[in-house]
Amino acid sequence: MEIIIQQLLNAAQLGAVYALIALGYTMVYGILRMINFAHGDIFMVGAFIGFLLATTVNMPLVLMMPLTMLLTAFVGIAIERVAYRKLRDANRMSLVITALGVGIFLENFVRMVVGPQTRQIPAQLPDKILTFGSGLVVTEDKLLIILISLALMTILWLFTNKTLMGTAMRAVADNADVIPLMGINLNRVIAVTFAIGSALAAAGGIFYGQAYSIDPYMGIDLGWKAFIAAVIGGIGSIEGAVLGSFMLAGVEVFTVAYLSSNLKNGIAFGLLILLLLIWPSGIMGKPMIKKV
Amino acid sequence: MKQHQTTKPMSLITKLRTATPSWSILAIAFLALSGVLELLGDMDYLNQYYLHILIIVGMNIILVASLNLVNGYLGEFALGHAGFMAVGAYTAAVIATKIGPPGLPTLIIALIGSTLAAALIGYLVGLITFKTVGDYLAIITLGFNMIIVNAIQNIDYLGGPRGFIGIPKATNLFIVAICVVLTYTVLRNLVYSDHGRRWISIRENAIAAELMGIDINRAKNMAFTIAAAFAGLAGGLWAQYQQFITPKSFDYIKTTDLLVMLYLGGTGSLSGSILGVVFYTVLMEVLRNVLSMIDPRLAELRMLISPLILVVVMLTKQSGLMGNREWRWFSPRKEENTDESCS
Amino acid sequence: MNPVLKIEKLTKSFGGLTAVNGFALELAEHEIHGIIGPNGAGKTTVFNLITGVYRPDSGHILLEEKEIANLPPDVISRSGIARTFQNIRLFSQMSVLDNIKVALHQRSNYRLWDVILGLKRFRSQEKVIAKESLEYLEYFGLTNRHNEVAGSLSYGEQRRLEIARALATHPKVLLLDEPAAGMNPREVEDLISFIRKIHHDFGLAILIIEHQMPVIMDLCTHVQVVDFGQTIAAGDPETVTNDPLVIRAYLGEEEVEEHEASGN
Repeated sequence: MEIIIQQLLNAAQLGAVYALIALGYTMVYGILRMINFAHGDIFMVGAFIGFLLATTVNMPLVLMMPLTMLLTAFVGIAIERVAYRKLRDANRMSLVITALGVGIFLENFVRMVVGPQTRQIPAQLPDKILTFGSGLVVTEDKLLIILISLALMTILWLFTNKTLMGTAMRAVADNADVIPLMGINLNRVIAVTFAIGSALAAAGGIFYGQAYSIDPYMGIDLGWKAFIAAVIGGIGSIEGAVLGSFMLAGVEVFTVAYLSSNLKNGIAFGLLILLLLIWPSGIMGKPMIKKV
Repeated sequence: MKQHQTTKPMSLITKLRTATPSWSILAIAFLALSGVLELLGDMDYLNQYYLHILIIVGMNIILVASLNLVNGYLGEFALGHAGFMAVGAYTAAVIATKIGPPGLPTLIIALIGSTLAAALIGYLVGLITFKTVGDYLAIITLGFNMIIVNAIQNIDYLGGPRGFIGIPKATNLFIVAICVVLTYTVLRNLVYSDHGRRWISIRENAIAAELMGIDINRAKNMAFTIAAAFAGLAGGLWAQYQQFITPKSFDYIKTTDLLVMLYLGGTGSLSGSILGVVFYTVLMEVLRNVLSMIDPRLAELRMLISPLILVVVMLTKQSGLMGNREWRWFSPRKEENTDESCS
Repeated sequence: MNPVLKIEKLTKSFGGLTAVNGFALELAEHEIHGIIGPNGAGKTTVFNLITGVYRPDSGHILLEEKEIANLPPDVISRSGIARTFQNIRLFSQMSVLDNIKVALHQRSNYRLWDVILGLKRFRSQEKVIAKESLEYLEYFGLTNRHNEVAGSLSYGEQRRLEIARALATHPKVLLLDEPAAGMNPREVEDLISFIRKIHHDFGLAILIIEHQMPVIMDLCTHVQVVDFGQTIAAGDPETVTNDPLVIRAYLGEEEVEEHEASGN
């Protein structure tokens, strides 16, 4: 029993990181109908900004995390401004390919700056070992990662549902054509979306760098995983992205624990395909209606 | 693109420019050139490095041109091409090492085997894939790519994650050139047939295509299966050239490379695929050489320049370098197309 | 004479909204039949149900006494129904000629192997297809445009090409969805004589949805008025357009009074 709870917590930690990335995918998709292939690399950039702040100036986590999120948000805004805006009304494939190009650029750029080695962000979260009941052992940092992530997701949910800008974002996601008519600045809505998505991904990057390790190419793998989580949940849906992330992480963690780590990807992707055949638009996505 | 018919007598230059050599002459010339280069390489007159680049270009042309069937002509966004390449590569590896003695017959059997195996897997994957469209299709094809790679990693007989070693080397530039010509002849025939027109019409307007009596799923799966078959062929060539293959080399990073070359050259254009592959490969090599000539530490810089070029091309010319246009050689000749002589 | 197309009790709802409710229709061979009604009355939905784009909730659609309701669109098309769209749906990046060739795709009987190997059967049939396509273009006055991309044609030419493409599938019944939309009276005149010509030359039964009354009045022998998914009047054009129910559906309650007051 303790082992299962232990594994559930591992899954929750990994799921929290997936969710922080997946939210950026799903928000951008909701607004631009675009798979932002560079998003996984923004997550990686965030992790390395955090790494540099923590190692070069020894910035404490309380400062480092907000600053990293802010800086990464600007990276996201800049990418949208320079590479995507001009293509907003173009063929969607050229947008996707541009995003691929941006992603490759970020990977190689970081690799040139910090080198290809695997690093770890110095542990700053308290990592005291807590023991519950009859032998359930949990480290504090794991709990904190889960809790802070959930807090960030709650803030995002409140933002999109309770604020004017959040309402505008949902309105754009529903129908981008009417927005200029309603006096909302579309460019600003999109910039805010990229900023939030990138900041959340940066938070995910810091957590990942604390719990596991980071390298310039980690965004490819984790980006895909998070994207799949967003698709399972129903891309475009914030709740769906969170749900899908925890599901995917659960499947992965339990596959590694009880079957074989070699089967991790195969089973995760098999599940993805199976779920998409049952719910073609994801679990919480809106079904597509054929218009003639 | 209007084609003005001039009644004035044509100048010699115009004549030369509009003269379209027949497909077979073009193919034979291409094969002859490759044969000569191969011989020069064998006799050490030509640096092996150049031969290597040409072989890589040839295999990538087969991969990108076949991916173009699905992503360009059919207009879907498939992300799993490297998976079918893996099927072909491992099939060829097994046939070449476990069955025949090294030699041309084994090579041919291995290549046919890898083509058919990839076609079969492609057909089965397509059956499931085309229940969805758009981004969901993209993600399902990516999923199958991962599953194929992951499955190979778990099969000890194929070497698992360590890879498959000791495949006899049978692929050379001339063999690759034959396969390129074969691929392009078939693709060109297909694209300008009912099949190709069905695929393009589905891309242009799926509902209208369906109401023209086109069985959309059948047409899509045919394009997908054929594309997978050629990916398998390229995989077979690859395995018997590299002599050592690992599952990792067929994951989505390879697929991404192919996508970059495809969209750089321009989708929906046979010539675009060639242009994309040649441009990208040559660019990478030139950058490597030029930059390291200036300063060896700069060689890495090409990793930054090439994605930048991709972004710049997309921003300035969204349809890629060729973008739905075609070199004259690659389209059927006017009289084949309209046949005004017999109307 | 048996009707070529017969529809009985056709019903379709989307969510809570019943778009088509108990719709019935009989289209005799070589007849031109009109469907009119206010916007959103469910006319295009009827076309979508006939062509299989939507599946009916209940009811029958019989083409030459064979049930086609619930068949997939491509099968319905091959059994002899073709249509055009309110918002033109050409294959706009393809050449004008290739648009027709797509419609003729069932004329060829070459196999995949013939194409892959470039065999004679493939090449000779391609010539036949090209020739036949050019004949269609000539009939529709589009010959000199055959190499251009369909999307570059003028609006009127695109409408014509869409009809040509529909006819190239060799239909028994042609469905025209607002063929005169966006045309001025002169163009409407041309369209009327054009439809009359193809009706005569191809020997088809035609079903037209149209708002432009001259098209209905001049071409149709029978008109059916649809509102809220139900047929509210049917008969020859003269009778139907003077039906008070019809005038009310079109103009609304108050305007009917004004209409009557002005003695019109």
